[in-house]
Amino acid sequence: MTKYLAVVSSKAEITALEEFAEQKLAKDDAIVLLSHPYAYGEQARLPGSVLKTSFDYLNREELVEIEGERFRLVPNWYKFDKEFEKSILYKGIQLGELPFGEVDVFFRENLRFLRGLSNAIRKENPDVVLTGKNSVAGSSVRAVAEKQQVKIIRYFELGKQRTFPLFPNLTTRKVSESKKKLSRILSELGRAKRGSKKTVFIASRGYLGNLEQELREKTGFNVFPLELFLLRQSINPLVAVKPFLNKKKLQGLFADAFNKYKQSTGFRENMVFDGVFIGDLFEFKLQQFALLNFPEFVSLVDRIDALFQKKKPCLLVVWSDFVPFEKICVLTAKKYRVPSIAIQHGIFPAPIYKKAGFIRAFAPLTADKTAVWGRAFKKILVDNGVEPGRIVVTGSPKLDSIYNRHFEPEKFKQQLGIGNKKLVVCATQPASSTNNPYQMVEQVLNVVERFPECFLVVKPHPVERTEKYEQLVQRANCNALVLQKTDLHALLNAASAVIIHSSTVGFEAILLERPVIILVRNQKRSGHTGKPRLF
Amino acid sequence: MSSCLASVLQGKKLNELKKEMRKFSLERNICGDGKATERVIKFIENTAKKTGKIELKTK
Repeated sequence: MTKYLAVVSSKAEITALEEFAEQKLAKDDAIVLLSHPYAYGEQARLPGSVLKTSFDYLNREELVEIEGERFRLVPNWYKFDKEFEKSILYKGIQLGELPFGEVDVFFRENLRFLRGLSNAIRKENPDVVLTGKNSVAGSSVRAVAEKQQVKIIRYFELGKQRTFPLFPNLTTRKVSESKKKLSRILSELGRAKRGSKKTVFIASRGYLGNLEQELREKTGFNVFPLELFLLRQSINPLVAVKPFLNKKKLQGLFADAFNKYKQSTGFRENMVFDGVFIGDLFEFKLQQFALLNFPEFVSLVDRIDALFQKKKPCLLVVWSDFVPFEKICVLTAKKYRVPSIAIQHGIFPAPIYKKAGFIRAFAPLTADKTAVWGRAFKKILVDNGVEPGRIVVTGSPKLDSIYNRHFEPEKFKQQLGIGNKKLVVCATQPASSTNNPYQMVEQVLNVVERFPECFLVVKPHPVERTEKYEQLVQRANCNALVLQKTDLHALLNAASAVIIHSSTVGFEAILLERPVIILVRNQKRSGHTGKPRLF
Repeated sequence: MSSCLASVLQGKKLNELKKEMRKFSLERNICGDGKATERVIKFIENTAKKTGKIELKTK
């Protein structure tokens, strides 16, 4: 009997593993499948295998300890060598700060995975570890193999790895979505007041309710939606192709800079976790930054700079100052001394962050000021180092519709085609730190199967792709559908129950007086008390 | 989860839940009066008023 630990981070590895199991696995062999978050939602047909994630091998103390390392690495990832830091400063904007969110997710998922993998090797004591040759899982296994004294590693050949799209904004899906948004924004612009004196730049991306429209209708400002600017450039091939003319040169420059950085003493000494060098694991991200993100950032900095010069705005309003485009806007505003306001777009939580002074998407604050939903949120920001004078309590424009509109739940249910069935809504959260959203939806589907009087609507987060959820729903034996773009408040109002793990949707449901069920993976690990609270 | 969903669907403890929810939103001091957009617009107007003429000179 051979005991295998299969470590996977992609569909390709799962396919290779299935082939291996079919051809080579003996009847009495045992296989434990450890899935990296990059492979969440992929199904493996491996009879007799046990599916695990890193959370199965981590306790709360370890999670807290890992958070400390995450907060050391995320804000400093580009600062371990002064020369490199200088080389990615462009027109006064530090490009290293821009992919903060992506770097954060990378370290959060990979540090947990590395520790979980080490623990899994110790606990399972496998005879053979199976993994992909040029994959994130494979790099993780290589990183910990020596320290954990892995007996045999067997690598799958995975063929050509994923390449980055040449024109990321010109995929059919993006162009089609962009056209729809553009036509909506243009129709609103057609009703704009003329003779306005001052221009306000706004980036709301659907998170700020009717703010943009009311700002246009009720004030004398010329309201310029930055989304429009972005969309026009994205769908116009002549403009969209422009940055790519310069792309090769920029890619070369950044690739050189990253290569030197990887060799620097600072990088080699600091990219260490649990006593093992993790720089090789970070290689994939650096490659992505050099070939795709950083050339695009340079082009965005140039274009936004030119836009500020042309339109001379008196104010910038953004839904968040955390994601690259909006962050570039805020940093450009600062450069030109144009005041900026970030408006809270969702709930932010977690006492665990208090020590770090870091709340993903909310603090540290880059914009001059921020408008928050209530005094409790102001307090959390102040606790995390934001000066009280920069915070204004206004309430949430997005939530206004909850109080100001008349809902017709029965009509809404008819439109969805669910008739008199009881509507159950399950909202997902990909950014949650303790949850695998696909596993959660699978569990919910299994439960709803037992309630034939129910109809489940799976509501993925706006940034998620829906394909994997649709596959899960198709396989399930219950009344269910996936709805990402819908009238959320009408949906929640019509619901008999709302199921979430960590989502502002739960908060909105509470305000609509709908019963909310919070799924907690492990009460001890997640810190949930079981009482209503900020998630 | 199954028993929890069953009890919610039967409406058990719903009034109690609603009371908890109201308390919860009050505790969080949410400005739940439907006038947030108005307040944000006022905040924007006040901030923009102070801006004056934009010269777009870098620091």
